[in-house]
Amino acid sequence: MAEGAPMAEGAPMVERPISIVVEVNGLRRREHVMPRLLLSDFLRHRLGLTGTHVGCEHGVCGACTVRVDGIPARACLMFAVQTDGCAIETVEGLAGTGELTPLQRALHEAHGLQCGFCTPGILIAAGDLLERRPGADRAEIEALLSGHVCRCTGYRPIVDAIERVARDAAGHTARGDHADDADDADANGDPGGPGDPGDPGEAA
Amino acid sequence: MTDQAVATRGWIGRALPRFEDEALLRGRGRFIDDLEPVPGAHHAAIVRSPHAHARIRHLDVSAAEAADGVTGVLTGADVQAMSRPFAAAAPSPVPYYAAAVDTVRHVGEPVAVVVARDRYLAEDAAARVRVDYDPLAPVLDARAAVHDSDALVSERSFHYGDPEAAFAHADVIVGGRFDFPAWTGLPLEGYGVVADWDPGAGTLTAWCNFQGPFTLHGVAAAALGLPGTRLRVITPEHSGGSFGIKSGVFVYVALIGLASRKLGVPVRWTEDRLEHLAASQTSTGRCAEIEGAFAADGELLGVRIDAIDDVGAYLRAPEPASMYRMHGALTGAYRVRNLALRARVVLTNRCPSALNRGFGGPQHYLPLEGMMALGARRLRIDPLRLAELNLVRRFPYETPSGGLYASGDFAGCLREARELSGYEARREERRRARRAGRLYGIGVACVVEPSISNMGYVTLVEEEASRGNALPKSGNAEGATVTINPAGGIGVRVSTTPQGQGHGTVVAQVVADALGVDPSQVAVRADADTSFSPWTVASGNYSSRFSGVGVGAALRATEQVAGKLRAIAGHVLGADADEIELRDGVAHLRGSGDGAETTVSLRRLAGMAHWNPEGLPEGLEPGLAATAYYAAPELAPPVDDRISASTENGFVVDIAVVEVDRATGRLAVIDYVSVHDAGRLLNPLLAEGQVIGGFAHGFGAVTREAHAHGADGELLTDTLKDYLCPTPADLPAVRTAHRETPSPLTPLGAKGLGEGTTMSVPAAIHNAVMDALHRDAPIALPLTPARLWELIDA
Amino acid sequence: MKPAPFAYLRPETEDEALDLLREHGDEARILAGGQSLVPLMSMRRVSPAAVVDITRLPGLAEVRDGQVAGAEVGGAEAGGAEVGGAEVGGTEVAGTEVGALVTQYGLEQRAGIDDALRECLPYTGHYATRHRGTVGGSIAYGEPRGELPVVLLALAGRARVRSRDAEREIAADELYVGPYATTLRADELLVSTRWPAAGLGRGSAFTELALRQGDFTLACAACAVTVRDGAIVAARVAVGAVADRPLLVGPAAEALVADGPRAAAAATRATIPGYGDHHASARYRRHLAGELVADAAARAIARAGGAPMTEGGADG
Repeated sequence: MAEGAPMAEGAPMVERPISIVVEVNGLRRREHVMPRLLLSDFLRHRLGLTGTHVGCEHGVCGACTVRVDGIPARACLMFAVQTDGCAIETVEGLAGTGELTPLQRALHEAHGLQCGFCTPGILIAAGDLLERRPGADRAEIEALLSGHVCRCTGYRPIVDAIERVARDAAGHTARGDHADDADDADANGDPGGPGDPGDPGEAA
Repeated sequence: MTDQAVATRGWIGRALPRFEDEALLRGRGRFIDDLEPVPGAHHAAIVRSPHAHARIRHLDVSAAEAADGVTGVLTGADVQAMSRPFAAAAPSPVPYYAAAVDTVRHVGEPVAVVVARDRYLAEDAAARVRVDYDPLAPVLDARAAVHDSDALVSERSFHYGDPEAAFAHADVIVGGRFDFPAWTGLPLEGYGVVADWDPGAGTLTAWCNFQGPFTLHGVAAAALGLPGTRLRVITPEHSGGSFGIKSGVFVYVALIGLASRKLGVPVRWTEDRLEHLAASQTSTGRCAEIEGAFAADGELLGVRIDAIDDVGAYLRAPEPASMYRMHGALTGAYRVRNLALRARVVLTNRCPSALNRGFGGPQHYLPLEGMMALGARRLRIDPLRLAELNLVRRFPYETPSGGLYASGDFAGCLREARELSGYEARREERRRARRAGRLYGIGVACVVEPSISNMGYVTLVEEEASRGNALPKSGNAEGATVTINPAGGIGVRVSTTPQGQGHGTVVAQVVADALGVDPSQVAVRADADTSFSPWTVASGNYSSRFSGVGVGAALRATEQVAGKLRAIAGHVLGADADEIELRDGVAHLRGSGDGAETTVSLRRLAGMAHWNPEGLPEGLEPGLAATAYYAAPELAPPVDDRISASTENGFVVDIAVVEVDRATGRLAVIDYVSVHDAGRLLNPLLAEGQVIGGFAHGFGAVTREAHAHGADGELLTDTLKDYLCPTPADLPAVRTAHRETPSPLTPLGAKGLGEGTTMSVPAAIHNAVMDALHRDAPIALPLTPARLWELIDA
Repeated sequence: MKPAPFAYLRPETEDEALDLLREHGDEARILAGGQSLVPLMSMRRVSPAAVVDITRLPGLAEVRDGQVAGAEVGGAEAGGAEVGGAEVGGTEVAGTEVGALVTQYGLEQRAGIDDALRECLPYTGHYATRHRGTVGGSIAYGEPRGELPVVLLALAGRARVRSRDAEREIAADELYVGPYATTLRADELLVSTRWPAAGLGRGSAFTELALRQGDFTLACAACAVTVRDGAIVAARVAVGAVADRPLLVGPAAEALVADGPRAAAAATRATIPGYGDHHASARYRRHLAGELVADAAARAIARAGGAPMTEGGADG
């Protein structure tokens, strides 16, 4: 059992740090954290990964979205201590030191970012969606983006960019696996649809 | 020379994706909270008022000062002792300090600043500050506030032409009350300041995501009792949006600066979302009554406006500018010459207002275009036709209130919008829908979009007679520096402090054309450092001024450097400077081939300028750099209460087609067309981004975004679960078109376009909903399902 | 906007968790998905002395299909309605048992769950929050605007809870007693929820209207019906965001059985108190809840194989 501060009795609580080990973008880190340290603050101010942005700290804006063990998470809605033993992916890890990913490129070409503050969270969440549902349709993409506040673009170029990557991916699949029309990338968005590897437990 | 040179090359006008993107896509943006510009900064948490209006009976910070990790506490009394009230563009009955002294006047007003080792400890200690309040009755109704001399900031009346006669001769008079509640552009990144007071030098350095106008630098410096040179403001390379809202950062430069000064340590503060929603800044709320006098044939004869602006708890500079920003375009797109305006500005117990996208425009066009819609309904003339009948047709056109519409093709835009929307088919669809009992409506808005504000327009708040004593204010100027280093690298510095608009890419396009290089070779910095950047009091990111004056300054400076390159190249090639052409990174002797004797590379020229001043033509300064300033023309101080409030005036025609669900009141936008004339588009990709982004703000304001208060003044929209921004599924697919009537007044023919749709969309959608519901009167904003259903059900 | 200090307790077993809950009682909060709790802590609207992180407890993230011990739709308990005491199904019905830590997204992706349940899940949050937010957390939190409690009520589902001494089941009807208030005791842990599934002659549906999808709803409604020989013989109707808690609307169920969806709408409006705020008046919410009930009812009937009955009843 992990244990943080002892129970307070009237007096202000004395916080005691807890040792955690995390793997962030493939690098293992051992740190001591107070239980209340938010994952967003841990990433930004302890590890210096300032690409994860903080826009609301109550889970609405989506700017701080990262992946923890392959599952999307608002970094402002988790305590760093909860990620002990977990693998964390942030925007800095997407392209690393290499070329931009297709999604990053698509956003660039479609002018899908202006101030760029919402962009890291969108990259993580949309990347996750495209991994789970490679042929995601426009409605799914729009539903995804309802969890990401963007005040600059009016969203349309972001939706366009993600849709283009989804279509390209679906096109590849169709060409590779079937002889039929590559345009027919119908993922139909039925959340009850079978065959989707959506069980978060297996998604790492 | 300039125009021709630019026209023959070709980076300007291309839909070039941005150079800014790559860093942002990799998570390598450099925003204020990412920076550690000074070592060991302590963290501030601000104790804020939970009341809209209350007297502070007692403030006890001793428990906070004794708390773990606390450096110290700055109180309102400290602020009063260490600073002066902020100046604004008019005298205010209530002095405005960076923190409340004995009375709090809005929810979220700073009461004390607690500084500690980290933000967590600062918030722990802030929770231990004890404040005893005596709640007072809040003033939230601007119409009632005009009767209170402590609330009324200013009152002025303006008459142009003969409005009395126009109304006396009218066949039809229509009008109504159009209220525009305060809302916010809500940048995704809040305010941030890192303040470092140097007691030895008596200087304050403030890193902050301020956006200008840099008039406010002077306001903050004066409040701190510092000569301007002792307040150094440095903005980070990136800023997470602003839409005007971050002009208010200057208040916190003062507050956090004072904390640093009192406690002797650098202090940093990053605003959280609750603070932002309660207390950063909002648009100006407006209560307007408007009347339009029409002849039976549809001619608009006269307009009367009675406007009350609610600027919130304090008059925050540049307020009361919202009232006057549109002054040159009060008559909008129409030829009407008779106009009366009563302009009153009041204080209430809401968050202070100031810049917000559209600044005064949405508030002006909702009533003006609403009046046109009501007129069309009463006259039984199609609204698009009524607009067409009254449009300004000859350019240049001087409006009755002094505005100059230098160029344009309003009628052409309207025709294009009609075609693009399939207007006749939409009307037919409306007939069919109505026969089936559906609530289907069409709305039109014609909007003149001013850009590049005249720094003198705010002086309209003063009577003509008292204006004479002060230094006249006019114009709008920007500076730029262009340098070429010894290796031929090109650097540009402007002070337009973009918050996502892509100024760097556009400047690179402009400079690339002027120097004959690829834009990827031009490194642009548009963030500002008041110690080193070329700037003017007008610098900053507002009034869609970049494409005119920002670009103008960059072009001027580049031309000076280009002139020098030509002179050196001519000297090397044995020709006159004006025989030299710069292209593809090489200086060519005009009219000759590309042989070694007739060309010299830019890199070599740069090397010569730096390394071999002895080899330069006689009389030429060494080095390759120029700083130049550019001031937009046609922006004189006001005369006879008439002013050209903006250099340029673009044009927007929107046609909205909507349906309201009878059962739920839900509003669906079936089609939306927006046709713009913003002059020459410097980068169509970025231009479209501004139009669609501006649309989303206007759409938010008309459909859901408004700050709401309870009866006791408590803020109901205090989280993002209650202040609701539109999502992609809500936003209709806007169809746009651009006509490009070049501006004769800006260096490259561009007109601003960052705010037009924010101005037009509320009016067009509101008009469409009035049409759908067969209303003869305005509907209060925002047009939520509940509000619309209640009208349907009534 | 940072949480106050707290003791972080991460039990490895259910028994250890139950010991901690007993020890700390009201001073502790259970951390599951954290999507509601953590923002409240960051805003310091709640500042528990201890946080018991149950996310690593084994066995709570499973979904099991089979017989669940749930009340059938209708039946004698308050809030349901049936025709002439007809016995519809037994006390064991086909359904799904959902472990407390199953996420909203995880359940959404699962085939074969009840229609109303499937339909409500996309509204429970945004993509990322649904990947963390748990079904158990939503049920135990008792958000008056929450979707899952409304569906649990309509389906006559149950919550299985454990304390150190005992295990019990709480019928949905007995669960919600006020704003964010449930009949769970401080030392109890919700371990799973049980959701009767639609079967032959049974249908359900959920619908809502929100100003932002994934955020708080203006109103939502769920209906479950049993149809025999083309006629509705039993029904349950529940609504959310119209009162201080999710509500089962008995009169609406009776009206639905008797006169169909429009009658259910009218009965809903006549019954519920309504709740007004700056987004919508109480009057509007009452009206809207009626519309949503009619819509959900019509679709539930169609799924159950009944006639649509759109003409039935009067519009309120």
